[in-house]
Amino acid sequence: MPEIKLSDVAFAYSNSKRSALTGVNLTIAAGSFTALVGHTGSGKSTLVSLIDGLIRPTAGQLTVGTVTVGPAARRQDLARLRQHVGFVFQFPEQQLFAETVAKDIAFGPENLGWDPDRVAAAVQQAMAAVGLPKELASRSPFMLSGGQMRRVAIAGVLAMQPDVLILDEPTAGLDARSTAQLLDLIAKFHREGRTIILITHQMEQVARYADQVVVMNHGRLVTATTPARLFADDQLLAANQLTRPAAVQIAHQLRGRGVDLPAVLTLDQLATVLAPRLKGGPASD
Amino acid sequence: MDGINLENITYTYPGASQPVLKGLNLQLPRGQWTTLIGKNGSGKSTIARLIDGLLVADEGRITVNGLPVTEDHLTALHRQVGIVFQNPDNQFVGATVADDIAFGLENQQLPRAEMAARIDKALARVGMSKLAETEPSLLSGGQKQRVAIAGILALEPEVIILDEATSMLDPAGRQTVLDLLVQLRQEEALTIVTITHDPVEMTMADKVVVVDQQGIADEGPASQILCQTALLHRLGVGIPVAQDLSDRLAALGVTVPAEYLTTNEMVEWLCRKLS
Repeated sequence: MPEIKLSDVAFAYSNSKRSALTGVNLTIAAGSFTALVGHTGSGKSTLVSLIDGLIRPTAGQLTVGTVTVGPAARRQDLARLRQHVGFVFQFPEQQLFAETVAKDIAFGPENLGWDPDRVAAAVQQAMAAVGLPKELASRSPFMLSGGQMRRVAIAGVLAMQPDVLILDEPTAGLDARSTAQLLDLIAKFHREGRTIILITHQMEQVARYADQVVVMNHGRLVTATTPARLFADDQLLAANQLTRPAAVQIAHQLRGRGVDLPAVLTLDQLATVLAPRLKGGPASD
Repeated sequence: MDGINLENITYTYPGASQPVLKGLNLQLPRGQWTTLIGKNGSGKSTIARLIDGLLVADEGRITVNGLPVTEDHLTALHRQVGIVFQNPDNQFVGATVADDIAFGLENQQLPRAEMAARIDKALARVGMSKLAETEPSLLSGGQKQRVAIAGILALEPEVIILDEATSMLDPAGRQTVLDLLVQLRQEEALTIVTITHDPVEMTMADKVVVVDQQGIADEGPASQILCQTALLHRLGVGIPVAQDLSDRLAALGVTVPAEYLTTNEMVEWLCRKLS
């Protein structure tokens, strides 16, 4: 399982004078769940594009497992990065193209040069992993619901069996039920040992799932910390236009009204802390 | 008759074995904001497309402020009703923001000066005047949706329909679009219809309509719908934060208020109980 390490990484698009990323130092432990936050244009997408080998650093160096790339990296080196990393882009269902679900999912593994038996096995396994029924294999992906189409697209990335899975706003545009199902699925991939890098605007997702949160602003890494520390730091939140998760917000309001509460991140934790006091109070005796 | 009236509407998609809507009756009062919620495939978007004449009902009758929705009236209808769709990237044709709004106006054969004035006014109303000469592809999602709304406002419509128009936007972009809708409702007698899965968006509407099993399952103010947790789960609608906390407390044996509380009301209730 590979560790990811960025040392003084910078990146500038060739048609722009301004750097998209400057001086980024970051370690992402193997098997960790890292959330990447920051407003639109902060450099989140550039950072993950580097990790996926889609672009090469213009300064500094980046290591994924045993592969290190810098400004002089060759195409082959970037391709080797990609063997470790799977990238689920925003609205990935817009890139579905094949006439059947199975053919769409098989596209990635086939490009890796795998033999047909291995491809078929990988497709089956990926469909099961995202909870797509077998009978959908021969159906057109374009006849499926939005949530199912997104699962097909994610299965296409999983079929290549990456150690590191990057997801850019994977729940955007999904209804509440599909969102919950997809987050459960990502948590399962994490439990199975994959490294997860999640770009999200939803602070609830950061609070509930991440063990590390990386805050980006104007192409710089502001901090890499734990969700508990981030959401306890009002100044840091305000300076980066980040909101509190609902449970943190309610706890904050209650503390402001003189209620003594420990730090909580999720509504589940908040309910667990509050329930004994609400039941044990004199009013309900 | 004022407002939008759907009477006894049945619609079956070509090739489908069952009608998606059957004998549906619905009134959307003029100048009100109505939100349609329902599972994917329940027929919410079908209702929006029937109102705009993009789809034609198999049975029944629809009128928009007295105008019957039939093929003969489509031109007049499209002047009255505008739809903003989910994906901000799929609705642009112009090379600049202003061109894009001009495109919709060209069908109306307005004098040039009048057209320019309407474009300026529409962009000002959505807060996009400074970006009139920008290429649409360079805009953020929230800006794109506001331009799409400006394109509709320029036609001076009676009805604006937003079909999950905020669901692909980041929280900041979503907020700018919702703020704009609140402002538009205050400024004029626009009839607003939104389709959403977002509980916060639902609380902004005058009325929430639940579309389920080929018809209307329930309708009422948001507070009446949002406390029905089991229904919300089944429809794929997000559970409002206060309701979610209340349900979790109830599961732990706490006696909680039966009615829907906003987050602030929930905090008040907790403070009373804990003091």
